[in-house]
Amino acid sequence: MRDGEKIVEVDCITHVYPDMTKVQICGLDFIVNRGERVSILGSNGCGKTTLLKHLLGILVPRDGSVKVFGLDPGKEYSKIREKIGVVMQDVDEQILGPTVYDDILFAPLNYGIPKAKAEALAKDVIDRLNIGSIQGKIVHYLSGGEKKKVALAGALVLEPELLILDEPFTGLDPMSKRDLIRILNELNGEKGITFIMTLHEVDLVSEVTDVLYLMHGHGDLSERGRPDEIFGRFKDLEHFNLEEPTLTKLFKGLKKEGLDFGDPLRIDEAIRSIKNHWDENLKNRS
Amino acid sequence: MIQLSYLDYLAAEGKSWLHRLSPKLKIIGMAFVLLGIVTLRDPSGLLLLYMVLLSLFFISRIPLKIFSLTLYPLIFASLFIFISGFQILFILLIFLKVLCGSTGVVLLLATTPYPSIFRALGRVLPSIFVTALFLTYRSIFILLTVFEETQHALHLRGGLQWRHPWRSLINISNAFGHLIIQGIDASERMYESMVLRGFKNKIHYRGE
Repeated sequence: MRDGEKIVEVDCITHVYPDMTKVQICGLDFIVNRGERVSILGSNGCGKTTLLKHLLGILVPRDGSVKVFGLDPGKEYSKIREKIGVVMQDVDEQILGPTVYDDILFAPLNYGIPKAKAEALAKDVIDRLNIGSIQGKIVHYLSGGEKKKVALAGALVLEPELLILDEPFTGLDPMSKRDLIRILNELNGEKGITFIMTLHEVDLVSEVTDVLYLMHGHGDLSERGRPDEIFGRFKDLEHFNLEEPTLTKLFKGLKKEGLDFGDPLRIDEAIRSIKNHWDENLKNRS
Repeated sequence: MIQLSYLDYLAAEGKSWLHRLSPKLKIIGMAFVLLGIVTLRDPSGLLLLYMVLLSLFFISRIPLKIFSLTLYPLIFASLFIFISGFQILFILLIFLKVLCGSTGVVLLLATTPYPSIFRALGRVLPSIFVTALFLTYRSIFILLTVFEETQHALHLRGGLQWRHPWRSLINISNAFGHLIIQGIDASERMYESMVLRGFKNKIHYRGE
């Protein structure tokens, strides 16, 4: 498959939960191209996790279609399983090994990879995520952030083409969030891993997203675009129950006061914008 | 997978006359079913009891997929086929007793919200006993969710593959260990939360 090729396609799916709650993920088609960093923002209960579970074949839609790597994950997940890494919202659900090292080796050994190669793969991912100091620890006693890293290691060990993350930043301290963003961007840049994540942290979106989807109600996918395009339309986003990013609020406030520094979404962009205006000002005065 | 949440939904949302009947009367009815199971030695009597229960099942418009829940205990009852030395009458008796019991229980759970059941039981049984039963029942929901999630994790990470049966068996046994630890953890956390919220060995139900 070439870069830019569609690897995920979801077309208006309906799912009904046992308590008869109906979720209809419709509106825009959910499409993910190879190499993209895709984020889904939405309020609690709008269907973000439901969508991810359909991509993983855990849920099967009553209506509509889901294609991942060209296959229906509900029927043929075993054929694409090795290409997909998953980090669930509650990582306790997915960590199965007694120790960190055992858990990282879990998937490679299941797929019949020879022990020596599996250990080499595990070593690579342990080094990348810098979790060598905890590899011998019993998973049960790790902190939330450490467990997230272990879950991520388990998801990355087989070098997946697609990484699916359900609210990966929830419960992490600021340094751990930074760390995770750096790792995800490195993986995307160096290895071209595509990722799909759901998140609530609006301020982090621009740092880790190429394409942003907004979801509201019970699965209504109504916006798709680059973060700057979507946050630029903030007036229309209040009904998504979202707060605009802090930087957007700041620079919109400054604009109202007659200080137009543009619409940066990231700290580095904001610094550049202010500096450019400052330099321009100095030039004009002299 | 047993959809207990669907059973709960049916109990709360059902509109049949059996749903509207008082929980006390339904529990008394269930007590008579148990009495019948214990005392009846004649397959024809048990068959009649089973027919009555089946009729109630269908009159209450309980979906057929819930009916499959009544058949699970037959897996264990089938052990009696070997113990009995293949005596047909004995096997029939055991199967009918099991089916009457399981159908009665599922009928009760599918037509009565469980808080109502425990509230009714609380009037005749010691509160600590009823509280323990209630928490056990709630814990089943929680454990089933954990079990389902563990199953998903095994599936997503290649833990269950027929072409590697030995590895799969090891993973299943590890997953059970994982389940036990999660269960113990969850019950400890639940108890701590309850104590922090003033729990004193009795749960109060709406309508008391």
